[in-house]
Amino acid sequence: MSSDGQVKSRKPCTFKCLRCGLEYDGSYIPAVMEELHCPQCDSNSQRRLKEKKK
Amino acid sequence: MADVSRHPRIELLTLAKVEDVSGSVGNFKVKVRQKPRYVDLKECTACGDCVAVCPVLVPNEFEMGLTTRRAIHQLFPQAVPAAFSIDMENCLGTNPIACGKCAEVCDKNCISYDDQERNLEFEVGTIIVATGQEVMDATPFEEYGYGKYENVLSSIEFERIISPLGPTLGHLFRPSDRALPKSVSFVQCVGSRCNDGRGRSYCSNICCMNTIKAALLIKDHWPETEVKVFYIDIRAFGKGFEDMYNRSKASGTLYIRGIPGEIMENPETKNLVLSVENGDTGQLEEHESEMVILSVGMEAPADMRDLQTTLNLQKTPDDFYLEAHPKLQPVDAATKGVFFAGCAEAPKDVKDSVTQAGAAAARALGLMALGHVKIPAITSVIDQDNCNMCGTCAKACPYGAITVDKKTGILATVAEAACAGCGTCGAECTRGAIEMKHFTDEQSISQVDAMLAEKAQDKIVVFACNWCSYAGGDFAGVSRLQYPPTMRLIRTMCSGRVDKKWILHAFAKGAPVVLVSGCHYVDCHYIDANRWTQKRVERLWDLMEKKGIRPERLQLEWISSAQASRFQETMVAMEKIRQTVTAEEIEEGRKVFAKNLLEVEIHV
Repeated sequence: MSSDGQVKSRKPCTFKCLRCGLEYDGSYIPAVMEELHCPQCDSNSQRRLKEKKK
Repeated sequence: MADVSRHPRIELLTLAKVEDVSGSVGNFKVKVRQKPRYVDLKECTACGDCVAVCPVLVPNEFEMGLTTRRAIHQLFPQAVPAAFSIDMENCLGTNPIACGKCAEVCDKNCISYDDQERNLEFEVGTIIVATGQEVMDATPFEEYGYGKYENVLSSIEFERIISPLGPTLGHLFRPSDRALPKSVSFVQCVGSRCNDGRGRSYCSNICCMNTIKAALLIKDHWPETEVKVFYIDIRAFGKGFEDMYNRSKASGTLYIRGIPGEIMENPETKNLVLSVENGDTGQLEEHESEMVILSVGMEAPADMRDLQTTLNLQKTPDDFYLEAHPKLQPVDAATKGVFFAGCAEAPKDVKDSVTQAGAAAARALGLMALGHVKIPAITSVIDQDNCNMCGTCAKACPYGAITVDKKTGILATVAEAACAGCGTCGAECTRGAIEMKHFTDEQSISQVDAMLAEKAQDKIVVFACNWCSYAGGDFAGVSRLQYPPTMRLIRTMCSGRVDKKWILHAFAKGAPVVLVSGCHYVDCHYIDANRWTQKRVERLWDLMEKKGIRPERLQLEWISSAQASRFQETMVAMEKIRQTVTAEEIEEGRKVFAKNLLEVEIHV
């Protein structure tokens, strides 16, 4: 559920932590900003690399 | 409520919904849509003649469906205003009139089938939001058999049963056989303190005391009935609450520490068996009870989200509205001139709701009695000569303080009374048409220049927001936490103010690493301005990669004012990154983001 109350589906993608370099699979909701954390170092510098193909 | 309805200076609008709010503190314009009531409020005396002849029976929502009401109805006897209304979804029809009995018997001719929906507009100085709370649904908790076993009820259904004005006129009975139960069990925290996705993670505040009150009432009226309460812990924190809890225990109610894992029904007796691990003894026990009450939690009403958008309010992760400050401004919204009363801000009981409503009314009255508002000196200033009416600033403003319309040729204008001074508009404006008083581009770029004037390769430029990250750094300092001396802080009111020009200028001046830091998402002091910070940084990462500069040299971190250790850890990590940046990389950054190129690439 996004902040405007609309249910939006999450899209899978690969994130890269710009602090520790960890690349990991995650997901995001298009047009909805979320606070991102690296699962390894907890940094918020998380870059979305590419969308995973279904 | 009766006093409110009689007050000469209070206008009560029932069946109404706020559709739109524009303007700012002192000058709000509110659009309201009011549904038709089909009964003349001024004439109706709630005599009930119409109800007696109405042939339509539907479940009574107020009584949780335990009894019925008519299509023309008053939900409960104390409802304000004391007048009936017609539920047109269930009425037999008015076009053509299929029944018309209510109109026939009404001596005062109150019934008006032609009543229409009305759109109203008001100009108001302040707004108090009192949206209330809703009871959670116990159905997802299948292990308790709610909806499956007749004798498992929710606490709100039980409340109606034992109410003297309820469907049983206060007589306790269990639904399966209408007999007085010899034993009643309460299960606490159904939906509250739940982290498995079926409920809410917070404590709903009122359930423990509601159960204690119900247990006392049962023991008072039917002392022979055995009462058991299954709980995680009893939260009796208010004035007189502990006494009430002790009285309940003294009256014979058995409190068992442990939440049942399962409730099973005996098909013959319809009695219920609760399986529970007793937390005090560590033993697995089974308790038989003739009736089970699930103490369901409270949650924010679904339509609070509409008002959130309309009034530019913040929400907590629990879906209730977020106050401007939990200790110093507990009834203020971040939007000036808007206040919270009751459960709009968090689940609470009647006493706390009344207290908060009084505070909200006082805050609103204080503003209106003064006749003017003090606004901070830090607000945005628009150079209309440079404005191309793109509307980016208006879109970025969390407070809706900027008006701009390309179609009608209205240049961007900021309502200073509504502007909170985050500066996001200035950072997002691609034309450089918006500045922020006391935090201008020139001031910040001068700070960058001064920091990097000597040994730029050894410096880390940190942009930190005033409320969280900068305060976190301050806390780290007073806590004597050691962090590298290479960092240089530039304070902004909000991370949303950090202009891409400033960041690129730092790289152009030889900064090896730049850190942009602000409040965590839920803590942003400017509603959601830090979302724009993240968007901006993400765009810059793309630009840096495109230009052959390592995106790792630009970092983004959310640090709260209490996270001194996070501030320290972040600075240590930044220093490690700085040490990986070579002289060649710094030189490349200088060239790429040199001033001439900078101006071309600024529109990222």
